[in-house]
Amino acid sequence: MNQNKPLILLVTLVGLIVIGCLGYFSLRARAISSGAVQAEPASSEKPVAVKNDPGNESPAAARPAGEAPMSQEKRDQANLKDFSFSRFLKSIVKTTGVNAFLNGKQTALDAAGKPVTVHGWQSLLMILVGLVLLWLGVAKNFEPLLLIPIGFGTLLVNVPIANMGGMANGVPGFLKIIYESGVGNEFFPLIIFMGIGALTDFGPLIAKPKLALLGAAAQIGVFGTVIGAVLMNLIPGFSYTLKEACAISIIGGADGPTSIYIAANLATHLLGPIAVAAYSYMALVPLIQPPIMMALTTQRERKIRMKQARPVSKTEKILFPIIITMLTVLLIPAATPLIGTLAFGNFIREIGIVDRLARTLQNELLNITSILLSLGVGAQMTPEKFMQPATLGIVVLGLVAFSLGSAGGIVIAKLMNVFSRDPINPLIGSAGVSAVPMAARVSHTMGQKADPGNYLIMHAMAANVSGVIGTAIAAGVMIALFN
Amino acid sequence: MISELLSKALMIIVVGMGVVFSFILLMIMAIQLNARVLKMLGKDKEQAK
Repeated sequence: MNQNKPLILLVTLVGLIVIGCLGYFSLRARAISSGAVQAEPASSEKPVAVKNDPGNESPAAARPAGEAPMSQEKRDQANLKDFSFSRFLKSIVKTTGVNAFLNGKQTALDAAGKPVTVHGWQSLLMILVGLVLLWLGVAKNFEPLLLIPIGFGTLLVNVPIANMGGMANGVPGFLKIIYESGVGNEFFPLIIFMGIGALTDFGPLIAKPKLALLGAAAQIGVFGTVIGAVLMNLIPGFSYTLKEACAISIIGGADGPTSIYIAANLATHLLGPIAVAAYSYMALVPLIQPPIMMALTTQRERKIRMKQARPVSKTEKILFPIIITMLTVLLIPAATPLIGTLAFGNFIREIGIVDRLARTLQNELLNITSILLSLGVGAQMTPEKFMQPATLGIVVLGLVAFSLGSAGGIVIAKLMNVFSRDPINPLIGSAGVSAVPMAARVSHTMGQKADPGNYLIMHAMAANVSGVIGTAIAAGVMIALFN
Repeated sequence: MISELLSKALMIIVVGMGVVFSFILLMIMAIQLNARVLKMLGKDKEQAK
């Protein structure tokens, strides 16, 4: 079953995206025809409020121009006069989900900000996408902590009438509140970074600091994919801006919160597909990386045993978060939100006198925020945002970025091996992508396959945690470039 | 259009990788310097794990 995992995920993702693209083109065709009809409004289709736009739903806007407001008493009388049992039944039938899926139409804004018509069947299709994500999380154990809330969020946001991701009578829906309170403003990813900092032991990196170069080298996957995204514009149907290309390429860092942070910053409309792709590839680390490792290393290199790391004092561990924060402030302040929160969490962990805070960061706060962040990401999985060719490009480019990053780390490890006095096993290079601690475990497992007595885990962890720092810096560079 | 985007993408790669490597190199130097200073002060064995 494990061997079938990549095939299942790939077939599922490609299937969904192909269906999505078909939906998108039908949606675009409808949008064009509805644009033509706008000049001559059809009597059968009532104008529908634009999703996520409370301004269009105000009573004043709904009232025809020139009509004077009625008094409360007159309105009540008119309502009673209009009321009849058959009309009441009709309105009940009209508000069922079945009717909404079969006949429902809504106007929403697509990635380019143009109004498009979203049909009920497209929402139904997105509900199926949500169910597939739930299945992947529950049955296949792909990042269940994240894919389950994302899947459920996708399911809920596409429920018609309830309008959980938009505005209903001027009141924001449950998912809209979550999205606006922490995802759209990049708050939740930073809280997650605090939790990651509180969970991470930077000891292996402090003991062998030169292994941090592997984390830097793996960022070639992030930056290299920007070119890939730009070249994809040569294919008809794809049109990525530079901001979108950067937002997509950060998937190569294999860091979910950073991907969400950058997507929310540079390309909000792609946030849903980017987050889903990032977490899917993180779950697939044990399947994507080994072939790359085998292709780029020899059996002899895989057997290299590395020198044991020195013990690290508590003072060094306490000073480390201060050092990286100061360096970030001096060199690339745009990365301070990410590095600063990571360092804060780690400082709380290492200082040892506020254990209660450390435990809260590691457990309750991290868990609560993960739920809210993932639900917020799910809130972005709507037809007008997901059913478009760009989503297919994100899946392909994400894989390219991830593979390139893994390969970059291995190549630099081989290069370092030439100059280094202490031998370096190139297998730990692929752990330079973030994906903590999965990527480090894969390096260790591959090393043990070549030589069962070889323990690479701590060395791989050094590259792994430096990858987190490297991706955060890469994210800071992108933010600095565009802001 | 594509050529203009490509040239900007290349600039992003050069600048981005440059900044990331500079940061990591400085971090490595800072960690090593910190370790030496602590060794001089005799704090390197303190509560070592």
